[in-house]
Amino acid sequence: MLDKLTADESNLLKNYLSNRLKQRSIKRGLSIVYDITYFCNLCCKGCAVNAKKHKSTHISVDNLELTTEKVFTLLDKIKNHIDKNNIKSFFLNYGGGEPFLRSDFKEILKYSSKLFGKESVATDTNGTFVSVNDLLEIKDYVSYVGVSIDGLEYYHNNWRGRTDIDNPFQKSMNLITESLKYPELKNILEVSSVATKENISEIPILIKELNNLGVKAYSVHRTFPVGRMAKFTSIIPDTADYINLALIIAKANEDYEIDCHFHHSIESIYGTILLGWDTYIADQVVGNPDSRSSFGIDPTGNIYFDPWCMVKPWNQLIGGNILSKNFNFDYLTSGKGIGMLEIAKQYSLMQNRCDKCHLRCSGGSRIAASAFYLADLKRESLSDLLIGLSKIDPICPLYSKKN
Amino acid sequence: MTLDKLLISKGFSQSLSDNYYRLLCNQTINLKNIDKRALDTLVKLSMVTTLNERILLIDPKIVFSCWRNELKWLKERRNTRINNIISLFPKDLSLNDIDEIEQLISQSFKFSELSDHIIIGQDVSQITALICNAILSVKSELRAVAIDTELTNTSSIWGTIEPKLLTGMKYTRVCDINEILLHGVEIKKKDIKLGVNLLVLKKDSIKEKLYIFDEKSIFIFEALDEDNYSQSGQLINSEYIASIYIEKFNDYFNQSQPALNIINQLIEYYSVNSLSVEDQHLKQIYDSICAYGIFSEYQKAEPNKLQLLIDKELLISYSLKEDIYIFLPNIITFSLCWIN
Repeated sequence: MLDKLTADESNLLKNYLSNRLKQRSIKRGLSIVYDITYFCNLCCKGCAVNAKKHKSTHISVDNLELTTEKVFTLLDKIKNHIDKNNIKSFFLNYGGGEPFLRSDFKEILKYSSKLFGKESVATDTNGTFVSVNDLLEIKDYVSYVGVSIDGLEYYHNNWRGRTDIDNPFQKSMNLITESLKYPELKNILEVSSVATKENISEIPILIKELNNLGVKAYSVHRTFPVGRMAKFTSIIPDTADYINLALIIAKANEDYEIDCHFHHSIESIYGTILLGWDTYIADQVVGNPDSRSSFGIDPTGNIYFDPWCMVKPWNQLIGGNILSKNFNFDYLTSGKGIGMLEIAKQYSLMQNRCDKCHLRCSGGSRIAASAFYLADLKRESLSDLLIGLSKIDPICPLYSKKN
Repeated sequence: MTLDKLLISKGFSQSLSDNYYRLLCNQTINLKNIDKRALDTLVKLSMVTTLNERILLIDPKIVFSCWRNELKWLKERRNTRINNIISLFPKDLSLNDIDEIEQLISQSFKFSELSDHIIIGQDVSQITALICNAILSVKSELRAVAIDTELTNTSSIWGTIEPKLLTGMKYTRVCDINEILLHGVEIKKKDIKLGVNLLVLKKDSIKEKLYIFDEKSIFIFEALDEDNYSQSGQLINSEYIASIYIEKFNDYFNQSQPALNIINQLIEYYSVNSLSVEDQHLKQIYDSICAYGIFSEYQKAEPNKLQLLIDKELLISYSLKEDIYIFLPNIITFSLCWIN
């Protein structure tokens, strides 16, 4: 499909990819996404953890998030593991649910920053429950705050699902506008969207608006049939949609000051096809972020193979509960035999993925490959899931689905 | 005497003997560097497999254990389907010849195993080699869930398991009721007698096919759809993944019944049905299919004969693949203990 681009489009995309791939850092060390609560004040269609329970619904908290004390114990265990193994690079990204619904979240960020350093801590938020004053309070504890805006007002509010909040779009945009008045917040704020077939046409307008507001960074994430999104597979973008999106992003980078980028798994594939660059080997200059997985930790302290694995059927790839007495981090990273991280790396090897395709790209997202495989097969055993990790990420422009 | 000359003296072709000797010396050879006809025969004899454009040796211990089984099977049981592997043996090959070949190989060559953490097998030959090599490495226990005859080269796998059972390997296998019907009660009784801890689950209660080798590695089969599995899969060497599968295995185990209970009930049920068949030839067909399942030579009987038993609701036709039908005892009125 990339061969159908005009010469101008091709050059535009090549220029974007060339700049982006050079910027991308090599992913080393340990990376964790910690969804700190299942509670959320919204009910987004694309939620990958099925968060939906507002605190006011009086559901038992025990199964939906840990106490402050337990969160600290969990963080201490991670810190011990990092120190013991002399891990030089570490990144902890908080998500949810909506993390700021926790009254102790600022305290947790402060503690995380003390343990790991500000540069290693980040958080995402839907931007509807947090004020600019809250962000000013946490600015010294985080290196990044991600606010999600998933399209223009109507689409965004519809995507948020049933909520008590009147106009979530306006609420989040107000937070962004207010935050940009403070240089220290402006530097750590990034806006992100989840791409669907229904919002791609709105993204150029959104980028223009964010650029006019003074937002410095904007990213577009992929959607997989995981969690609640598994019910909305018809609106997941296809290869042609992503090529269109790539052109939108590339054009925006030329036209505006805002730094726009899209999902690394797509950049790697396009970079290899269009530029002929080797994005397969993790340790060379352009790197291969897809060859390393991040761990995911759910709100009860269970650790998973990948942040996308916190819901059924993916939660079969559980590695235990960090707070349990018998839990051993070494077992997951290396230890006896090979652990979760090594398994993720193994599935990125050419002989194990994409039906043994010899193109020297990253292979895209292994989770995406498996998620789409499961959706097609309509099965969800652990074996199906693992077999799926070796399949083709359907985002690949060279892949044409049978029938 | 060198191996190639010994193989020729036992009746194998010069090309096969040369290439196998070359493979044993080099361990792997690129696909481009081997005579295609010789390779074809080596694969059919389960001596090698192809993987990622390489030719890989199957551990000679597996190869010759399977050869012995095949020869014994052919001589001892006339009531069986004849595997095509037999026809590739030299006409006068004896068990002593196999011993002699194996002895020379064990004295002259050292077999090295693959050390990759994940290995994808994409055809019967590859997955058989991967599974057999992994079984040979088992020190304590082999566990299996629902591996049935859709895997066409099960004789190699069983040929590897049997000698390991004799040397103390524990083998726990959970299958569903269909496997008992497919293999036949006599075959299953024989497995249990040999030391297989066989357990049975209700039909359709198993959602994946797999082997677990000790607590170290697993082999999983790729599903084609809800009920069918392809001839491909993955060997995963990871204690982390193995530990998850052992938990799953234990769940299956805890829901299952000892196979002997089910087999005894089936035998009783079959014998009552058998009495209702007056025609002695038909009775013989029915008894044989109950006892030996797909291994019964009457699977090849004329369809009109089998149709008489189907009309009496004693047999059902069962599709394994789109174009191959086999026949199984009908247990529609049979009540298993866990159903009631």
